[in-house]
Amino acid sequence: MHGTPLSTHPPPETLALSTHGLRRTFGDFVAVEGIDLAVPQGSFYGFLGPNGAGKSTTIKCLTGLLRPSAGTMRILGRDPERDAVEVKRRVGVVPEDLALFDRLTGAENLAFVARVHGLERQTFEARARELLELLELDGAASVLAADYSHGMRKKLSLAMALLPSPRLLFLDEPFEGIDAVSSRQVKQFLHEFTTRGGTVFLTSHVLEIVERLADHVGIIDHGRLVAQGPIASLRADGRESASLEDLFLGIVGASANRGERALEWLGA
Amino acid sequence: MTGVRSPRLLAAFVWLRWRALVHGLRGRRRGGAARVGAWLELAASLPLAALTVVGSLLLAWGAWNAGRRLAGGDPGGVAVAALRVAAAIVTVVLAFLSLLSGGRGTAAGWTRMLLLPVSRAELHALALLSGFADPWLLATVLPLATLAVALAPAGAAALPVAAAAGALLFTVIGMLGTWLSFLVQLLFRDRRRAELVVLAAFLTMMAFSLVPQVVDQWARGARRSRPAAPALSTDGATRDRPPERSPEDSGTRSQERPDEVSVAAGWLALIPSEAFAGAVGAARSRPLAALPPLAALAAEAALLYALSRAAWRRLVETPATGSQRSRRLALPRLASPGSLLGHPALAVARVQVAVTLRTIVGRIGVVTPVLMVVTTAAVADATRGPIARLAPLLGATAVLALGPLSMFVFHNILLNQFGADGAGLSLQVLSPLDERAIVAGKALGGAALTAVALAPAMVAAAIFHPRTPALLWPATVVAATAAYLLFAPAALMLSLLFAKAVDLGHMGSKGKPHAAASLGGMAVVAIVLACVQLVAFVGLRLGGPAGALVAESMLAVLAAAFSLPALVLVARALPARREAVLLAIRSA
Repeated sequence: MHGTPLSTHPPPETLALSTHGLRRTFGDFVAVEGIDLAVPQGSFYGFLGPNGAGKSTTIKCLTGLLRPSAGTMRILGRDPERDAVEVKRRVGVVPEDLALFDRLTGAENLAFVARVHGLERQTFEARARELLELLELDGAASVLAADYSHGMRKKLSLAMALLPSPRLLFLDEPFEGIDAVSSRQVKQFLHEFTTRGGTVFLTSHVLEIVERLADHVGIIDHGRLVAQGPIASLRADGRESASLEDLFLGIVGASANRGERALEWLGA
Repeated sequence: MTGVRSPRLLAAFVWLRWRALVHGLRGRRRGGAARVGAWLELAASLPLAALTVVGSLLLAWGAWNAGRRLAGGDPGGVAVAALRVAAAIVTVVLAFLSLLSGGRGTAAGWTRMLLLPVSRAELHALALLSGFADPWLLATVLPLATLAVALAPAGAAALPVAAAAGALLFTVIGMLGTWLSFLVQLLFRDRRRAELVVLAAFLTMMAFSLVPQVVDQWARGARRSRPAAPALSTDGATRDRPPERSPEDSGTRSQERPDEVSVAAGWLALIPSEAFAGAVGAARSRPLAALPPLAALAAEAALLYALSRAAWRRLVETPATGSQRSRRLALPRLASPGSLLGHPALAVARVQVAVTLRTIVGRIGVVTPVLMVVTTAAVADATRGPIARLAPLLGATAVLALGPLSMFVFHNILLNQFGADGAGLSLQVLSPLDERAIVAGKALGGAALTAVALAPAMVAAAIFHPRTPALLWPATVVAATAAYLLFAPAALMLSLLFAKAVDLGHMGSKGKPHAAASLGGMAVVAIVLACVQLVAFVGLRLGGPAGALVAESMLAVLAAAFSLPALVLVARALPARREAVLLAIRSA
């Protein structure tokens, strides 16, 4: 294990999210094999891994979309399986499928979230207007989500995750398909969110974004957590100047130069 | 016509279709329920395949007899008439099936092909070839070939003419099907346009059921305008004799018609089935007379090829258009969170109603009971026969069936309540909603939908059956409540056990629930309908309309006593099935 050993993790009360021995299988296939996550409160945690490593399965277990086969989880000091509703009140999620009702308009999707979170009318209207304007969806608020572009759907899903003012955000590839202007704004307010004590758990394949935003990372490979901790701690042992991409490739065992020698017939 | 230049391309395409078929049959089956559903779907397709084979054999038998009769001179022209009718029916049925399959398919599968170094003309040829591989179309090959063989003894030219006519008719039907399929795909690229088309088609089909009344009215009008029949003689000899026409009158009529008839006949001869029958009819004695209809068929094939190519080019070269309408930002009004209206279960119910009423399946559900009331009244009025005589017997309890009917029209949604939510189900799972709120919300949403369909149907029934006893109307509402209370837990449990990803913008298999849920749901509705009708019948016999109201109220109380604990059981089952439902939706 690279990074911080589990024994040196911050005390549990300062963790927004922790898992112990989290395991998930599909028949004989082990998707996640006993991972121990430790996400400090107020951190921006980048969860990285190659395709098929188990990132989505982990995030689905953490958000209640999948039930773990084994292990324990604590989210904001609670057991998400026992206190599912209370945990969900404090958590916002942008999942892989974006979780939108296609036959509701953007504004109606937001209203559904407001209703199930029990938001007051004035609070909902003020927050919804601000979110829709910030994400440049105000002109399309009365359009069915089915008629949104992919980027608009992602922004709407993000607005729905933010509307109840959660303490912890799970974001699965939040910047994919979002235009540069909105992307910059999202990055800015996510940074502000963490400085106010909120926690972000983000998965992304764009390592440059993670490197710029995240202060902690966890790297999963073949269902196992192979590295975790502050980015600075991963850069120890003479790798101070290494980029996150180099660190990531070094940890998951892929050779950066492999591409140079491969496919020699290409362009010949 | 551009052919497929490379046999390798054709082989690759055949292999692709084959692998898609194999993987489609194997599928990714999670759990016993999905496996049962897969077997049920396979079982449902077997009678269809058997029907195709039997239909092909029957047509071949008919074609053999027609061919032999034609070879023998066809006294009375019976064989040509039969060929004309059979060819017309086959053409219409196959065109209709192409429309349906076009509605189900999309051009998205061609995107990968378009990126390959294959010309668009070749891809179009491949699309045409795949159209000719349609099993329904292939089923016509045997009858067409049989007809040509049966005609062979009639003369040297008979076989080649009949074979050419058959080949050309086959080509025309294939091209027509492909063109219609492309047209439907073009229409369906726009969601709103597709929904309008489906709704219009549905209403048109329903309107056809009014034809008997229209015909009846027309016939009555014709009888009234006819000159009075001669007075009856004592022996009644002239009782049913039509009024006699003078020779001058007949002559004038016959002089007016020939031009119109010949012009109409000329155009009708261009219809593929007519051209085919014309060519085959002339094959025995006048082979040269078969050339114009054969040329017409060839020209039609070429025209349809050009049309299908134009539609194909438009399909693959122009982007699909969205239906975005930019409006002023208007946010929905929220009830106070502490109030009853602010309960999270009502948020689920509200979403269920809004989502359903924005789908084609939901809109059709709302109008169906009204249309059924109207058409039933119209047909009963038109026939004035056995149905009208049965009306007094059925009338009293028939109105009580409106509740189960209004519930059943939403079976596509109510039997797949979790699958119909699509990604919206993930949103509900991620939201701070407990299982009871989700189940209660869905049950309330279903009840609201039933009420939305029931109310206009009751108004229509009141208009068409004004002499219905007043107490039967509240009895109908109570009966609907009882029916829904009995149905709701079963529907929710079936939705949990057999969730399926659906597109409710489609009327075909894409919009239908799981086969197992459908079968189970139909059985439950039948039982519920029988309960409601039996209770109404007993109540009416014992105490008239008031008795029916009391009896239905008692049934509603019993149904509530059953339904509420049953809904709690469904809520308890939800956590255990939640993951399987989510996976079933995602794996589609």
